[in-house]
Amino acid sequence: MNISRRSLMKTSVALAATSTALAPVSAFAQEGPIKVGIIDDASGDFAAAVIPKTQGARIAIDEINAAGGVLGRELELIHYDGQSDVRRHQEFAQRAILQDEVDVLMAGYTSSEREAARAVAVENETIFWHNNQGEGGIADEYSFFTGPVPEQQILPGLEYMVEKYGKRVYVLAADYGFGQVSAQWVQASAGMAGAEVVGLEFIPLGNSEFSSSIANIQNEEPDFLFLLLVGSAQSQYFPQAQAAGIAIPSISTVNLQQGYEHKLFPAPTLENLYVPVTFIEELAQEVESAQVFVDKVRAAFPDTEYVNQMTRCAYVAVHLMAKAWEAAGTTDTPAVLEALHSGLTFDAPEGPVTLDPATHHLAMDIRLAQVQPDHSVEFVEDFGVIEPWWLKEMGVNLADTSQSRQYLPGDDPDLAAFLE
Amino acid sequence: MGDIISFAYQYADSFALLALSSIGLVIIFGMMGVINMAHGEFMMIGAFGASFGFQWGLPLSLAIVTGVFAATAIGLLLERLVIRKLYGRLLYSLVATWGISLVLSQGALVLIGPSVPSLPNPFGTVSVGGMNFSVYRLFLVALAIALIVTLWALMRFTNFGLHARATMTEPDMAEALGVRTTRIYMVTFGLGAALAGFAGAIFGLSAQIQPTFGAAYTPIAFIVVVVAGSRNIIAGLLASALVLALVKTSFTVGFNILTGYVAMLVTALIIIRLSPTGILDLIGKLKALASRHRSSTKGTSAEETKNA
Repeated sequence: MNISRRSLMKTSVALAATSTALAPVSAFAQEGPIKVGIIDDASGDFAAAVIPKTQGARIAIDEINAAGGVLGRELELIHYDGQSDVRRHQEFAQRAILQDEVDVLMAGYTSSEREAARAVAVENETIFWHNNQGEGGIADEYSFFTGPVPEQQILPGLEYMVEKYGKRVYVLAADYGFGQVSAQWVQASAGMAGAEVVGLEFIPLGNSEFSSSIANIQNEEPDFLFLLLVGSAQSQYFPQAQAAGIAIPSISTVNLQQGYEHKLFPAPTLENLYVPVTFIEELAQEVESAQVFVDKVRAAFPDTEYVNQMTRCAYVAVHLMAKAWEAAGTTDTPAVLEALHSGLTFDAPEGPVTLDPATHHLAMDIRLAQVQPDHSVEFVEDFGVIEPWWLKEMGVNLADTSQSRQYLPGDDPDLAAFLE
Repeated sequence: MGDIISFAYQYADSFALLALSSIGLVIIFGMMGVINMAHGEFMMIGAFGASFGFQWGLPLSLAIVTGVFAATAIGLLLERLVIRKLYGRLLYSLVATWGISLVLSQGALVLIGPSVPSLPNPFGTVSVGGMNFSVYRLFLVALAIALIVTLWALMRFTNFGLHARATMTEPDMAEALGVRTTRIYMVTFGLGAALAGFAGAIFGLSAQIQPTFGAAYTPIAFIVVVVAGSRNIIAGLLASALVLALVKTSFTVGFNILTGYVAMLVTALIIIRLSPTGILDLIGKLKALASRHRSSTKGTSAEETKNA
């Protein structure tokens, strides 16, 4: 067949014109979506606690997209199941950053998972968010944190317990990075409050046998317990302690607010557990904006087991990034970092939060919750807004000087004085 | 005195954990040499089944029976479909049951969810010598002993036990004598699954019941079973659990939980190294060593002259 060049040209132009006319009219700009990479455990030892965290991110993304997206572009969630496995976090971080080319990465529950993913993000100069409470101390150019840190939880919480119950504290801590560093903070806080750590035990992750620890606690008769137990296996401490008749009040900066053990064990297993939190589902009883948030989550996820602290953390993180992108007018990292240093604020479910430019952590409301015999929760103390002041005291100002380092209690001479 | 009671309690508790975790597996491994990597998942099914039974309004004991049924049913199903084809092919059964364990645990997560309501713990506390002990944990000890005795009686006094022991020792001869070995294997696998489900349901009385519930028990069960050996499953299980629990408790009380675990693992390592066929053969070797030493120090005995 002989096709003349002119007829070929005519057909091509006609085709091109038709296809442009028929192209779906997208509400969003043609640059493509902004990719939010998330590695959350949807299976394994930490799944029960972390599944609510992903829900928070999804709700934020849906809200933002419904309002027109960011810079006229849609937010796209790229979610990987970390499987409660550190290696998966490293692998998926590499895939998300190098293959999917995400514009931000939010990953990790335990500090080991977090560090595995964060190392990859930092190496590739990708902005990274960690969205749950932690042992704190990380001062890094690319890393941002929405969860409370020791000076916001351990310090005020321990002071309260010492005042109320006495000076002798026994500590049970999960035996890995987070547990070890938090235990140091407990020791230092105890020292500063004039209290005495009468026992300190490190429990291997995955251990569910506590008869020896319980025997030791019964021997020492402390005034209160400080619990830093992580994972569903370690949560078996609670029913075992209750069965052994341990009636000593306890405080935890990790239990209940994440793993909602008070919903998983029958009352009164967790009676008299105190938790310093920024947000948990029961805050809806006290604060209007918390109720609105809880309603939103339950409407979108009617089968969810609990709206935990991490739902709020992930939600806040996505919204803060959206604000930063809008303020920067682009997703280019240097401009976004500058925007993140401009003192962004956001109305979190528990109250307004500010992203501190110097430390990359949030100034947030902290309240002390106490578990009642029927497993309902009462807020017995309001510590108000607590700044993430410790890194600043260590001389960190990330808005001015970039660095990449985790500060430990031992680096602070005031705290180190109380460490063995 | 209080310290002794406390130690005895912790020792018994540790023994019960080891024995109950592994009693289902010891039958399957001892009988068929099948490495059942899905053992923990049978425990999980038992716990899930019990939770559902309880939610449906059954009293606690019947709820536990529901869990046992569920585990047994799935065990028998798997035996017919998969395990049957893999007898005598040790490494294949390892890989296949590993796959089954993934399917079961992830399937539970996907189909049921990250957790199910927990079971109530009807036991209270008892005070001895000023210390409080959990009646539940004492119950576990009693249960472990009861199950071991029952299993021994089953093997010793019933027809099934006779056929089972025959099949374990000399399968070809047993088959020649009219024992239906395939049926024995199926029933044994079902029994192992039932015991695993029972242990899971019982442990579920104090744990969060999640799809990964059983994963913590599989390694413990394996260590106990490998140390027990397959020659005499009851005696082996007893010896293995008693020795490993003693080491674990001693080092936990003396140092800490981590050291207790490590000591137990090192002990298992040493026992296997010295006697790959299990602790009973190790004890036999030690006895032989001791008697030889005794007779050599006594000078030439009539025994030795006879054996020469």
